[in-house]
This record gives sequence, C-alpha cells and structure tokens, in this order.
Amino acid sequence: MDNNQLTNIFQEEFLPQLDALYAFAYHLTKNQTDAEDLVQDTYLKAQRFISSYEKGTNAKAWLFRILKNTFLNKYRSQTKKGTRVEFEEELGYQSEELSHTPDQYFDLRQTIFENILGDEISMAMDQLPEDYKTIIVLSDLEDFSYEEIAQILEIPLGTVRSRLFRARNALKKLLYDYAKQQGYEDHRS
Amino acid sequence: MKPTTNFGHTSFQTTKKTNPSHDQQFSTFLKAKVTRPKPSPQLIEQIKQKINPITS
Repeated sequence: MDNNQLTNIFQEEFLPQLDALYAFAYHLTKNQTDAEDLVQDTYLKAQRFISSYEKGTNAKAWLFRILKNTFLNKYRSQTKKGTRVEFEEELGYQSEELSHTPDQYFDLRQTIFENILGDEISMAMDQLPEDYKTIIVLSDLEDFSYEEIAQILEIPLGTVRSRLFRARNALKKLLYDYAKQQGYEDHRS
Repeated sequence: MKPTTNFGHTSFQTTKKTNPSHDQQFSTFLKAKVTRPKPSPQLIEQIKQKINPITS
C-alpha cells in the first residue's frame, strides 16, 4: 500500500469517523481530556496497523474495536467506575425474554418519559455497569448491527442480544424511577 | 442473498435486529434526547496534522 492509498483511506474512511469515535470515547471516559487522548491513540494505532485493514470495508467498526481495546488496556483501570457484567447466561436470558410481559417500565410512549431531559438520561446511563452502557451506545446511539457489536466487543452474538436486552431494561427502569421521583405524572390507567 | 460487510479481513453478514418496533422506539427516544459530545476543533486539527501517513 503506497502513501497515496494510505492517505485516501485516512481522508475518506477514517477521518469521517472522528465525531462518532469521540462520542464513544467520551461515553467511556466521561472526561474530555481522556476522550481526546483515547481518540488520538486510536488513530495512531489505526495508522500502525493499517496493513490489516481492507480499503472499503467497515472502517467505523474497525476503529471502534481499536478504541474499545485501547480503553480496556490503558484507561479503564484509571476510571473510578469500572463495573462490568460478569455473568450472562444465554438460557436464562432466553427464558427471561420469552416469559417477559411488558410492565410499567417499558412503554416509552407514555408522557412520563417526555419530560426527561437528555442530561438526565446521560446521568442514568452513567449509573449502568460499563458493559451495559457501552452496548447501548453502540446499538442505540451509533446504530451498529448485532454482528458488528459482536465483532467490536469480541463477544458471541447471543451475548450481544442478552446484554442489550438487560441493559435496555435496566436503563428504562432507572428512567422510570427517576421520572416518578421527579413527580412526572404517569397517565396510564 | 444478504449483503456481506467486511470487518477488516473478517467477513460477516449484516442482519436485521429482532423486535424492530420496540427496539426502534427506544433508539429513537435516546437519539432524540441524548446530545452527542463533539470533538474540539483543536483535536480535529491535531489528528489531521499528526496522524497522516504522508507526514509519518
């Protein structure tokens, strides 16, 4: 790969991912300086390992995986909150999902959620275990497919599904409890 | 045949998520509410200047 090809990849495929990478880095580090360092480290590693990237493939997912691994290796031990989801049982999740009947937390069409501000949602997300927050960011804010998330996080597809299911429910419960605490009215009968 | 997306050198298929209406509703809600943090212009310039294959 010559310099022109490398430059094209950086200009056309890597640099357009900067906003998304920074947003992901900020969600992970909760700190502007660390997020900027993490993004710079990610691009440096992308440059170093660019020979393993195939032009025209999924640059965003490739860069997100580098960023996630860099964070795990360098930054997570420095952050205050490093809680992870250690135990996930596929069978448990499947029976949980099949037997699940929607309860009061899960109907986001209700007016009780309309009053919640974005900052309040961000604070609720920060209360989640790191693995839950990460998978919500990747799926619901960055629109990665389950397969892409499995590649980025290097976990089985079934774990993506079960973790995302639990993460969303955990966040919805936090939001519902918060809304009730703030006195937002639930108009359902 | 479903489209295949390469991830580096690893190929995998992209499929639709399950339960789209419920998932879509929650994603839409979060996207509408949560502001995406933006990188500073300084960071953008630093990356453009320092991390460029031609200058390395």
